Amino acid sequence: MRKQYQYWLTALVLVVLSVGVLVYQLRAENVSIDSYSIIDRQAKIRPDYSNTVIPGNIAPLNFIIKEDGLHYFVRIRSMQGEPIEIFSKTAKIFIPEKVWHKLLDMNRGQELFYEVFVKSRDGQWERFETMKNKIAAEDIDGFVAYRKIVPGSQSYSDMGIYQRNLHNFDETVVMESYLREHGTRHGCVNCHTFHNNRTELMTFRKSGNSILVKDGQPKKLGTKFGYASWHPSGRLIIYSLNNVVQVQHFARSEVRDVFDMDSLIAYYNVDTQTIKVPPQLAKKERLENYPTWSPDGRYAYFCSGPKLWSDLKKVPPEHYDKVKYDLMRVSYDIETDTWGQLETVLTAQETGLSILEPRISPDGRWLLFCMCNYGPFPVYQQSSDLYLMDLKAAEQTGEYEYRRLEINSDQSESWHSWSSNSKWIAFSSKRDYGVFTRTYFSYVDDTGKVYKPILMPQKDPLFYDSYLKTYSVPELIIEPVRAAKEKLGRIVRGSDKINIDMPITMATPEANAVPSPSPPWEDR
Amino acid sequence: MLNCFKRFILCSSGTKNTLSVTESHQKVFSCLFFVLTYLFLWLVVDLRLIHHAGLQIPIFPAFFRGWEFFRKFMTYPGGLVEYASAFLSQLFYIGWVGAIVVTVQAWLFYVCTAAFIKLLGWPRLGWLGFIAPILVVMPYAQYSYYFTATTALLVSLYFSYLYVKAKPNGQLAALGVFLLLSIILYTLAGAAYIVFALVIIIYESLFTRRWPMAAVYLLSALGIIYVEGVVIFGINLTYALTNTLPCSPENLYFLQNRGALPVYMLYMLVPLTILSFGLWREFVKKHVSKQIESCKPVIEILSRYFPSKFQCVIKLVLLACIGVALFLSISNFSRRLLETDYYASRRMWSEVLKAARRLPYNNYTTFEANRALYHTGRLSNEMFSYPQQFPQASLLLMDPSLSQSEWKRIDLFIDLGFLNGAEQALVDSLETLGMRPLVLQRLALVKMAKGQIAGARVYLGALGKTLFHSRWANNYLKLLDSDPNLLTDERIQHLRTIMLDKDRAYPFYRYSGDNLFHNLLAKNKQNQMAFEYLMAFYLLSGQIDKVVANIARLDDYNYSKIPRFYEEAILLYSFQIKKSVDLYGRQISPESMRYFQDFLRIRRDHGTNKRAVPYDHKKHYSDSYLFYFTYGHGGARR
Repeated sequence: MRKQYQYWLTALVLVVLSVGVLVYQLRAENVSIDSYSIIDRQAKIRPDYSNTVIPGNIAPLNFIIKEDGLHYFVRIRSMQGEPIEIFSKTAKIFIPEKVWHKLLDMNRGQELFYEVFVKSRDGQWERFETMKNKIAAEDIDGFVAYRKIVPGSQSYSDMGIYQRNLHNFDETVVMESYLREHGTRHGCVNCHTFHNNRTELMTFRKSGNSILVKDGQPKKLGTKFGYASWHPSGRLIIYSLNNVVQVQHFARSEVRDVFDMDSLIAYYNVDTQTIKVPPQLAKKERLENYPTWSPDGRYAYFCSGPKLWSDLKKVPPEHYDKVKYDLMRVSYDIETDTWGQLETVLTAQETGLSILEPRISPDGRWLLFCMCNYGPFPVYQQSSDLYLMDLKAAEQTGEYEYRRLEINSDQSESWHSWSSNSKWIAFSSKRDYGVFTRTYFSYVDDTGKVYKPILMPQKDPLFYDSYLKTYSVPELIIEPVRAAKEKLGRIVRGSDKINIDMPITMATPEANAVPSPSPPWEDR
Repeated sequence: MLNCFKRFILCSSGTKNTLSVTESHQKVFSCLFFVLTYLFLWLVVDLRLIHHAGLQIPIFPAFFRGWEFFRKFMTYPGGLVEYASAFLSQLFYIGWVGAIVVTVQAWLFYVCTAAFIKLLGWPRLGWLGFIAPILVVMPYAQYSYYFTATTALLVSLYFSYLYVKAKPNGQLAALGVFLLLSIILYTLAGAAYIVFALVIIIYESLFTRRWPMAAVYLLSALGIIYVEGVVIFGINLTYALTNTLPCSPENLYFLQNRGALPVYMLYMLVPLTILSFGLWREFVKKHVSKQIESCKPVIEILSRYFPSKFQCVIKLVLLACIGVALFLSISNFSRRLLETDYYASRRMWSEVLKAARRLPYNNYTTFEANRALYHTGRLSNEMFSYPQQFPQASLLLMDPSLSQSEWKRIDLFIDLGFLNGAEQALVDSLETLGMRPLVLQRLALVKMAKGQIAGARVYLGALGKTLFHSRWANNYLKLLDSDPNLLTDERIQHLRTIMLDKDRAYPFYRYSGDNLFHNLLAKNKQNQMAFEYLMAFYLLSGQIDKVVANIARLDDYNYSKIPRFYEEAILLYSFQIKKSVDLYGRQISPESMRYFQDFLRIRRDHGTNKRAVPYDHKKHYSDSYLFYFTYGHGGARR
């Protein structure tokens, strides 16, 4: 036999053997557990998806059973439909996507039960107490857009905005900073903002410019949008302009800190391509930040803190850690383009904390915000927690009452957003992985009760245990971003842009007044 | 005579008898050649330095086990070769194994090139194949890294060989084979596929003379790159055309063509060889064939003796020349710079000092030398035998001119107990250099020492997927299960005793050394490293009053006597203020007193010209603090 045929034959034998082993490993096993002992507690699982409300359209909540054993068996059942039975030789439980969705689709509003069996080292099966979830009647938006970045990044060389299909595990790139294809590092991408949870209008910031995407067509604007919010009409964007300083702490657990030397709020008219700065939102002695529209477009809510320093060159400035932001609002008439008087919604004096990142549910009922010990940047504050305010009740009583959510942990929670149906929130938390923020979802019922959060599922339940990037600014959207990353990349790299003049006001932050290693929105 | 030579070349296809002799020589020669190549890579180049690399090779790949890491390599053409290269490159971590990897690659290049030459009917010129391994090795001598580019080329050459070997007869069959191999190859090796296309097009044009086929192949190759690269994988055209080549945007950005010339030559070697053979065959052979007959006796003599005896000698001479050339091509500066960094990161202090001695002055080596001196207990007695400059630069590498020094500061900050400084330097390095195991290891350590166990677990989890640091990571993960606060871990406990706990905020990397060292001593007065660095800071900044003011701190440590440079500073200070200083019961040694008196005498003798360095001062005091203080710079070799 010629030598080359011998090689081919050997290769063929190897392939057949490999396939054989694979098939053997993957073959379905019929498991019948005739007898078992009962353990009167629930099995420990990671991520902890037990005893909460889950979306009916979420990808399989794969998990790992943190119980010692030889084999594992899980039966997932609900009121209707065939139960899902999974036998596994490892503690990892992978739920088949198709049957999972079928089961959830049939049982919206019903309970979902997980029966967990573990075969112990002595060969006996043990059954743990059944875990329960409720499948929400209301779905979560189909996608979430977030930013991924190495925690503590200063060079922004390997980061990007990504979108995840929550129905499955697909993640696609919206825009990345590090473009292998060009051998360059294009700086920070951040501040992705969508219009009414849709993607036909969106903005994000790329280095020194903002990118506005309208019906899938991106345009580069020669201005920086800080924290931005689309007016419900889609005709204008309100945004903050921040002069940011970062510092390094010698001994605090969170190394970095961020604050604004100065800031104001401006708005951009998409049709006329002009920027205006309402004087109420750009006071010299105040630091205005985090603007957001009420769903009816009649009010802009924002945060405002006192500027406690006059020396703009001293870093950190005096009393930077004493600045606490109030929650304010101001009325606006889009037809006449007129702004009303400032109203105080909640003061830092009342709460003792700095009030940040207000976000109103699309139905206008809930205002979700976070509070931390000081400053404008909650993700670097371990004290940051989520709070909820009932705006509808406030309208009736005239009093803005708020409460701290039970879902908070002892770590920082921030960067929250609402689903389009106002039933789900997504937020970033450091609860399980320390410095590595991850995305969590929680259900909000009609009474404002917010249920135990679930970690955004990944195909491999141990995925997050070794994943070295943070997930931040999770924005729920009902459709994927339409503009292709290649197209966005071309616009970002290109020289064409719409030049917009920034009106100079007395309150405009001084350009280069202080060393500003990077803008604030680049630090999440 | 010229014609005879041409005939000799033309006869290189040879007969079986002459070949058998040549082949046996070839085998001995190639064995010797590759053994020497291996030894060169292992013992001279030392591929561990390239694996360590640091800032010099920011493009050196990371590798993690598992699907998640592998998956991203499937998203672009050439990803699979890149993945394989990333895996094989990790073996550089063990010098002798890494040398095997590169030697095997070099050998495969030789085999592939020689096989090509043989296949084209020129077996006697098989020695040309030795050019390829030399070109493979050369970038390593320059401490550059093109392993992915060379691996992609190797795969491409192998596919080219397969095509030529298969010799598909019919045009349709040939096109089918070409397209099939093209699609597979472009997926595997990315833009290095261009070499395959080029080789086949030249082959079809000059050897099979199927010109129309060559034209079709050219169009098909462009089409495959566009369809597969741009349409299917969604990468841009420039990247589709360059991604695994030495001129890829990444290589150009990170390596800036350092050591790239041999790789470009390697890429051109086979196509140019085939082109030359083809052109020779096409044009020269026809015209000289008649003249060749008249030279028969000369040719016989040449082909009988030249291969068997002289060729052997020539080859050995050639080998020696190559060896000398490679030795000379070694970038000693890069090597020593890398050595200093490598040894420092492994705490091999005597080797650090040796390497630092051999380097011309720069802040980086002084910085590492100071660390090594401290760890060998010699900082306060020998630091001025190394060139010293400003304290912020020599001790902390904090100077606007010293860009990207974070990587080097990491271990210093950890040793000092400045864990937040180390953490920031680590995350900066993680971005600049990628997910290097050394960075992940230290991040995990810092997080554990700070008690941030959740974050530490993620770093340990990632480290657990590397090839050579997984045991360290898994041991800590196990320990965390049994001892969540790591109370039984001595290193962590030590770090916790010295780590800063009094917080202050500063602009990034803009804090002064004395402030930092004072804070560290305030936390733990027995932090000897902080103390010696504080004193070194005062010495370097000429603040001898502060050296004297901190002499009392010597009681916190086990100094048998006042260190030499502190004594010199005390004497200088005492001389300045013209009175003795309180040494808290300690004495200046008589030798130091005499040394100082002699120094003063020479200075007095030299007169008023303080700018000129007296010969005697330079001769006897160049490694002293007296010299540094007097002349504003160290007298050690600069």
